[in-house]
Amino acid sequence: MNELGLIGVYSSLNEKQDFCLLHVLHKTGPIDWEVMRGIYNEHFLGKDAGSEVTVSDMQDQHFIGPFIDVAQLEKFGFHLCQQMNCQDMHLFSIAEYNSIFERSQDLTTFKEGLSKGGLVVINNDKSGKKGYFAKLFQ
Amino acid sequence: MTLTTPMTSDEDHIFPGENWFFYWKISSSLWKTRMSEIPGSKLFVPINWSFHSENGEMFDFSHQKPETDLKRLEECAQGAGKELIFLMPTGPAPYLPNAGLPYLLARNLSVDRDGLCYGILNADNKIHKVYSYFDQRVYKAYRRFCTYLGTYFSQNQMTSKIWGIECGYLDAQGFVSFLEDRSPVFQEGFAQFKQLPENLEKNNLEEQVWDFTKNMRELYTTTASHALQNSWQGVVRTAFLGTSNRDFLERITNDGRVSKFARDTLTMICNHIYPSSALLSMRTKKGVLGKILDDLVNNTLVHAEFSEKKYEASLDAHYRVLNFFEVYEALEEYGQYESWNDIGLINFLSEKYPWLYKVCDSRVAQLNFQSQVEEERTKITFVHGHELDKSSFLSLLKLFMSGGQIIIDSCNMDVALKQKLEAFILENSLNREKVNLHIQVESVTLGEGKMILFEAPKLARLSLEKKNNFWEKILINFNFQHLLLPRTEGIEFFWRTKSASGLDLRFTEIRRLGIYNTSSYKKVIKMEFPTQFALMKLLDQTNVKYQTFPQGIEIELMPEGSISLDFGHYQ
Repeated sequence: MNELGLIGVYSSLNEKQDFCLLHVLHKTGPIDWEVMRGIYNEHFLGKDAGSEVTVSDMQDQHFIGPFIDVAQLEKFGFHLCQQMNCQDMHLFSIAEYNSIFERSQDLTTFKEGLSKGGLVVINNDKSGKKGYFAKLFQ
Repeated sequence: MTLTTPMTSDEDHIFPGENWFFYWKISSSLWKTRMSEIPGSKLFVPINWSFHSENGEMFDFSHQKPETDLKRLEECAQGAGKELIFLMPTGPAPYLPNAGLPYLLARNLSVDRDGLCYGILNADNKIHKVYSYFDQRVYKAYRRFCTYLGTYFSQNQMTSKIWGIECGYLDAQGFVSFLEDRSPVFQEGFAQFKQLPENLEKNNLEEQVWDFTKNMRELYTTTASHALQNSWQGVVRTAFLGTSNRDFLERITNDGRVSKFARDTLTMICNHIYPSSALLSMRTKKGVLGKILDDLVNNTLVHAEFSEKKYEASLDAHYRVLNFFEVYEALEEYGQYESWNDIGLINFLSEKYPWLYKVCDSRVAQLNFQSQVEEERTKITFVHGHELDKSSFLSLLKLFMSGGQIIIDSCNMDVALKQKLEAFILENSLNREKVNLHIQVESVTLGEGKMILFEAPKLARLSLEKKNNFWEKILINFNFQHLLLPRTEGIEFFWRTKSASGLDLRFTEIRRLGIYNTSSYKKVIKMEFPTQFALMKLLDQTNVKYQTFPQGIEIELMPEGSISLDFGHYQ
């Protein structure tokens, strides 16, 4: 796994095909829920963001969401990369994660699989490139 | 350069923790020698199904590999002066590759409630995968193995006890069994289950999933207990530290946090879950975590969980977990009614009286309070009225009459029992008082006995703050003498107790406090002792300095530091 990268595993939440983040991993371990709730509150909560979820709804949740599409997940990943000062985030659906897991026999091969796969969100501030998300979200 | 064979870390693999012995990891010719090297009188031997059968059809019990000879294993243990206790998994065994399934049966990966494969790392960073036990072929093969094993035990006149272990992990909601599954194999079986006539009218999908899983769990447990009935002792829920998917992801980047594993261990002990560190590396548990496991599991829980009742008198020699609150609840039941957790009790006790409560499975305990009647130290007993029957109700009344302190959630209590209670109060002209503490509460007293009745659903609807306030006000009415320590970040402490021995007749009880610094920082703790407590001795000091005062002590704990303090308690 790239030392600066983040790994996220997401799932579809309900029949409406909303998405949620189940796990997010940093090089120091899983990221604290409060940090992620903070980002979600700032950028995704309220009617302006197209969400009916309230802060109190999120306190008992063991996931971050809902996100109405994968683009929103990517946007969240971008903000998280910025907050955690990481170069990129690899986002995996459950099926992709399980597929890598199934092929792995030990930690090394599993980490290799994670570092090569997934949907990659790049934090341009960190990588020095000017990309799509940097222009769109800032 | 050395001419001797280099020492490997085999020790870690053979004895992975808490006196577990992996017999398949070492030549049978060395069994007795190695067994005699390990401290403690009990040796726990998990039975490795896949080691005795590659395909689930044929079995090897010393026919080919001498290490499969369980009779010889028992003889070696006896020769080494150890009591051998076999552990029979009643579902996936996370400490084994393929979670213990013979490799030809390991076909369908099991997934958790979120749909993720169970990720388990062993101490060598190899991945153990969990396969579905909802596969019919797996069940049939398991039944064959249990039957064969039962016959083997009988024919060889083996005398060792067998405990079933349901393996799982601890997450935010509590114990989760590795038998739980949401894979396509599970879905296939579940679709058939839903079509059964008795399930057609049930609409709650979550409850049906719960029922199906519970049925499957009971099927495996019953199969094992029937086949091994001569030696079977019951089932212990065993949670493996570091095996939740969140832990797995954390262990991708580091060994996992000692502070979390320490906290998990204490949570498990209070929640009737047996902890195992078999999947953690020795590096992780060589310091303060190892000390916690040694104190609380090897030297405390082992005696409480795995000793026969008839030897209870000898248990006085050992420290037991100290608790003032016994919380009864049918564990592993679908949450039709409000649980103690739902109404904020567990959260309140965890914060205010850390690790001084014990959650008991009301079905296992059969709500018989005789042992509490006989105890000298009064505990506060929490019971759901809907779980009481005539016999347990009478037992509860007996406890009350002998000075017991009881809190009853009276919602959905049997009407006849409610009438009996009402008649009991009236006939004995007991003091009763009704107060409003956010919700209506009734208090009944008889001498030292105290009973409080309330209805859980009303409390469940209140905010967390009001729930905490409710429990604060309720528990202030109950007396118990103890030395309460404030919670300190990075410090864990745990109380144990034993009867005062002949030399300590001044005291009614000896209480041992273990203090452990699980952080990476130096910590200082100051304690003042109430007059009912006398500091008797300090022991097991590692990386600590201390200074005593009249009725007080200041302890400085370096990272990984720990110390135990013995207090005598005057009545």
